[in-house]
Amino acid sequence: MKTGRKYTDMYVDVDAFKDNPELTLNTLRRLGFKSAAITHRCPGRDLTLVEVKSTLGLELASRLQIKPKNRFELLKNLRVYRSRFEVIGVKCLNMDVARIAVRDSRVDVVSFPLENPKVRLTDKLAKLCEAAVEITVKELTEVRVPRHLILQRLRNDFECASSNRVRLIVSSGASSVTELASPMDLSSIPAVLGVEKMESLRSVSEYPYTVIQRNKMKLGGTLIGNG
Amino acid sequence: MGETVRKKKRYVALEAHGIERITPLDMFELVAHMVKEIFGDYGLAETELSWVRTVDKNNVAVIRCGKDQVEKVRFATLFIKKIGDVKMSLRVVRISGTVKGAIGKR
Repeated sequence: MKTGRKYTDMYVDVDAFKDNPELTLNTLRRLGFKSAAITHRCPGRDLTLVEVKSTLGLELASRLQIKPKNRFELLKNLRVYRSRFEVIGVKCLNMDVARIAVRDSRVDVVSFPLENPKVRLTDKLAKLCEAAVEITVKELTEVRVPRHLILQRLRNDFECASSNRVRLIVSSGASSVTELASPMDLSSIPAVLGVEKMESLRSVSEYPYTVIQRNKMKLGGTLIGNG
Repeated sequence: MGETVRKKKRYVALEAHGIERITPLDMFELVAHMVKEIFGDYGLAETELSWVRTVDKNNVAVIRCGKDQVEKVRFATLFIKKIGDVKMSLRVVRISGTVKGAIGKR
């Protein structure tokens, strides 16, 4: 049964791809994605990607992933780059950055390093959280921490997010074609770790798609904000 | 009349990427090994995994699991990243209640 969900991969690192971006985007389309947020830093490549997306029918958004060391670096980056990228993701390397990032409306998604148990989504943070919390499959599969500890941590994070109504986004974080996963495979992560089935599906469709659409409207000047 | 005791199954078609040739049995063993690593012996028993058959298509295998256990199989396939030293991945192509449906012959 077709549900009409617009599956979205929120984080694909096209710059890291050794093979051509066309193949990547083609694979994304074949896997069932309707849109994707890609990181790209080379200005020359933008044109190619625009041409490709129009032929494939894939909606693309530009994404910037930042890893600020302190709050000043975070605020400086947001001031400079917010108007240039459709999606801004912040990897919180410490709790000081996390406290600012989750509250700032300019931040779309926040993620926490899985290898550091001290930096995580707490109840206190979740209550303040305006951004969505992101989990990437790449980090999940490559992190050098015993798997049971990661799964235990993710289970706690998911529970904390759902009890505080924080949006959860699951993305591939792929930097090669073999790392791309289908939307249903991605949604199996929260589903297995105790999140309700429909909510798991929203984490790869509704939540990321809404963020991208809203930011496109904001940058295009067509969104009328509150106040 | 008592309730039926036959448990429903799902047939999962898997496709390997990033590797030239891999046998379906190897693919099944990779999945079973990963399910066991993540969910333990009890989890593996719960999924009721079994190997079904070889498919004519390259790098495609069909495995069988319990109806409610498909998410676990999907989850386990995400963690399969290499075989030996070769980087590869497994993706779930199709899930069906029949072998015919899983292979895609209509």
